[in-house]
Amino acid sequence: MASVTFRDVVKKFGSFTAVHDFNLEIRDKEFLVLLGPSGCGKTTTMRMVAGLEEATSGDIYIDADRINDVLPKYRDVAMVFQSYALYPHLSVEDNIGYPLKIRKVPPEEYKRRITEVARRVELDTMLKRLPKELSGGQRQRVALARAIVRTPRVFLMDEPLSNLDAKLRTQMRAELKHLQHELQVTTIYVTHDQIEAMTLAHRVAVMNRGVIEQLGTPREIYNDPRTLFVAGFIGSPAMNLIPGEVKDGVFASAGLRVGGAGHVSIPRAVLGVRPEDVHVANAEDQDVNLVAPIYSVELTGENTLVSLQLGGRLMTLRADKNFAGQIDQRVGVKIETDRIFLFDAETERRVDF
Amino acid sequence: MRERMADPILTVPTGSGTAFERWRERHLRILMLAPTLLLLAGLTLFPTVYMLTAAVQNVSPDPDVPREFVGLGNFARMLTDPELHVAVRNTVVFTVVAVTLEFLLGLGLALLFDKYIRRLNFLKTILLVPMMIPPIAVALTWKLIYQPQFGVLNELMFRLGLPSQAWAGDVNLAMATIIAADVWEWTPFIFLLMLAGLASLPSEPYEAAQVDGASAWRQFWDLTVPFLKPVIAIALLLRIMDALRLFDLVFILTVGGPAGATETLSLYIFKVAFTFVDIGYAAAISLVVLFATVGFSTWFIKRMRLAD
Amino acid sequence: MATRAWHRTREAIFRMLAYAVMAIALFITTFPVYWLATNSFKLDIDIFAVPPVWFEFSPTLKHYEAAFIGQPFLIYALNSLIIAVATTIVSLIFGTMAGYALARFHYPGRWRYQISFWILSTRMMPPIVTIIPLFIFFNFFNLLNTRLAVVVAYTAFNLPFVTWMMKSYFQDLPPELEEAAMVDGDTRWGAFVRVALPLARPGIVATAIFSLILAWNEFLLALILTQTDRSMTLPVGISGRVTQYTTHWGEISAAGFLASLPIIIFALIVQRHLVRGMSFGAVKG
Repeated sequence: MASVTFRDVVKKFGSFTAVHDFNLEIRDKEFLVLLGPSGCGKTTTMRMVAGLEEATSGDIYIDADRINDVLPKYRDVAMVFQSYALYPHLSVEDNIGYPLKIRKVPPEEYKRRITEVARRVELDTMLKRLPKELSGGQRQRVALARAIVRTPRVFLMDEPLSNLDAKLRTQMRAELKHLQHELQVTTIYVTHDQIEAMTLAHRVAVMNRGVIEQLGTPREIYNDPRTLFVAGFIGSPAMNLIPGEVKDGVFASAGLRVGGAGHVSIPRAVLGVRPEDVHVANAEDQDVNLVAPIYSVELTGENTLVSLQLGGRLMTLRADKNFAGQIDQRVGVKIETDRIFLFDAETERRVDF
Repeated sequence: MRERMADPILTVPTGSGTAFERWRERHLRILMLAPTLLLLAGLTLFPTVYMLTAAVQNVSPDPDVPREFVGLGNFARMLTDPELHVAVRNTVVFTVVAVTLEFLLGLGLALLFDKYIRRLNFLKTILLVPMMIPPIAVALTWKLIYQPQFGVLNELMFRLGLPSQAWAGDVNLAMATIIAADVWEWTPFIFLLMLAGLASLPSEPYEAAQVDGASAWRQFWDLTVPFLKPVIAIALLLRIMDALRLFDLVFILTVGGPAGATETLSLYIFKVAFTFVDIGYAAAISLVVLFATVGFSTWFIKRMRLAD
Repeated sequence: MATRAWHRTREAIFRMLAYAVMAIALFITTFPVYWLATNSFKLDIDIFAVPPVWFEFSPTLKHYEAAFIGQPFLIYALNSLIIAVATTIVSLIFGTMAGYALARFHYPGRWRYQISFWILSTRMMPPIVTIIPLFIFFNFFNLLNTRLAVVVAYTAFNLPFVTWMMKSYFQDLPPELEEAAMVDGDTRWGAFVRVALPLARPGIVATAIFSLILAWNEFLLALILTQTDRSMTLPVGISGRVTQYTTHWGEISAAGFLASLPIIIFALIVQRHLVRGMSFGAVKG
């Protein structure tokens, strides 16, 4: 039941600026993901909401309340830590009940809430255990239970799934999404994992070097990257980024020419195209964009990733799972020209055409 | 703050707390440091200031006699005081010989035991004893052993067919007896620190070195010594600082004798201050010792990057 | 090239050598303590016997009786105990807070390093250079020959140790636990008291025991600050009897052994923390 607003927020550690002129409004009941590589300032941003870091300047609001100078305990937010931060000397029950104990909740109510929450996260049979007697997934659920045992204004989640193995992570991801939908609590979620961001978020804020590169729905971020960084960061395998030159609407690079970009001219340009928008063709075909030797062939199961040697770099494309090319074999490549992106290498921004 | 939902646990934490709570949280860092910093500042500042003033004065044991300003006279006296020079030489000799022996013995034993004896807990327990029991008890024990008439050491000499000695009472042997007792007391310290250092060594570089064909000797110099360097530095620093202030052992075993053979700086300052009651001169020596030791340890800690 | 068999033989020889060296080291370490202990139970005639009586003597408690009933060693021991406990309580309260502040809070520039280093450097100060001003200071406030003076001096001398030890223990704890507590509704101070302190309990106990041992064993400061039976500590009491012309070997052996006994027991308790304790938290054993 709350919105979170950042207004011109700056965070410096000594001479290092971790977060730079940060402006963002997170809507009520929204699931917002802060996505970026390590050191991009996403965790610092979240910790400022929790009150664990103090903003150097700017204002942070929860609803209309400016919370910069409010102690963490009065902010009424709940946080799930990457390491779970379970109190090792307390049982599962006492861990979950800690926020209630601090608020001096009467015993019956305390009992009732813990039972209810424990059942919801399927921990009701292990309330008396200590954290060290639990598996990784169970610990994760204790951390989650501790956050949802009260109804905070904002959930903060700092890479909560990154310590789980791949299978459990997929499962917990779905549970988290369902839980947030059910509880309708504004959530800020920090991750460096773009799949998590894409699957969980209502909106994603992609961060790099302390600033938001792009804010939008997962689909917008994927289909319409506004900067070179976002284009390279989102998508797996990553978008092919080929440096070259645009002259009067024609992109040219070593062995590759792609036309149809209006009439723009960019001296230093980067062409971006996703692996699924590049197709293998017969090398002799007339309409191939380029011909290149195969560098490697990796079968992933549902399809085959083919890397081609293109000048001094590799170009990846997603081919059919039955693709049978050999290393060093020369193949033709067709690029879906209406699916390409052009970036100015100087400003690192998208150029529309 | 705005109206909250009718949730009993949400009504409590809104607001911003009492003024005291806010004040305490804002200044918690300095509040938690203050008692320690104030007490230590008292311990260091007051004595330093006092000694700076006393060192340039002639302070009479009689409080009614006014102090007399002597400028750097007390410091000049240090240059021509033969007893002080003996004390400095004894302190340096003791520190160098004792710490070297303790280090070589401790490191050697640690290397040997780390490799060949797995179950060390029992041994560690025994080794605790010399360095943990009161130094006065250590001194007392060795006084018993060195005792010329009925001491155990002379009995050993007799069994070996050697002449009995006065030990702590012999000008030529007194320093050696002090060193021996100190080595007994503190070799376990070096041993345990080195053993902890050895136990924390990663095994992969050694496996890599073996695959690369490095001999045990090469592995020691190329891997063990660099890995152990921080632990060695800490062990040496603590031992050197301790050895430089040697007092308890000499006070019991020899009282600095015979003929000043074991007089250390600590003992000499003690004598000047409380036997000769020459406070000004004692303060001057103390100041020099203070700056020398703090200077040395500061240099050593910074050089070895121990405080980070 | 060395054969496998030769290699194995060499290893066996080294192993035997290691066991032999260990046996010698153990003997050298234990014999003096054995000698002190047995002398305290020997009749004078056995103490002075030449050749020494190694094993077969008729044990007596005569010296313990003489020292602790005939002589005021019981009072000295009590003084030592009171001083050690009071010193430990005060220095632990102060030092734990300072250690936590140094382990956890942000500091501008290199202040964390500078403060920690300064605290450590006060420990590097030889006690002898401060005893004159301390003597004058306590004399001025008429506190010479009181246990209070010794407690104040010892607290100041133990604080750097306690601070550094606790700093190292707190640095071993993940900061997220206190952060979680703060988000869950506690203050920073509350998180320190309710989360950090319980988790650091093994470290606190170990540090307390080290502090007790340091205070119990200290000699030089006590020698200057306590000259009367009312305040004199055990080491000072013992030293006063050693340097006299006629030394009552049995009595002081009894006092010395009894002064060592609680320390040996304490040392066994903190065995696991010993290396860290001996190195100011720098080496984790």
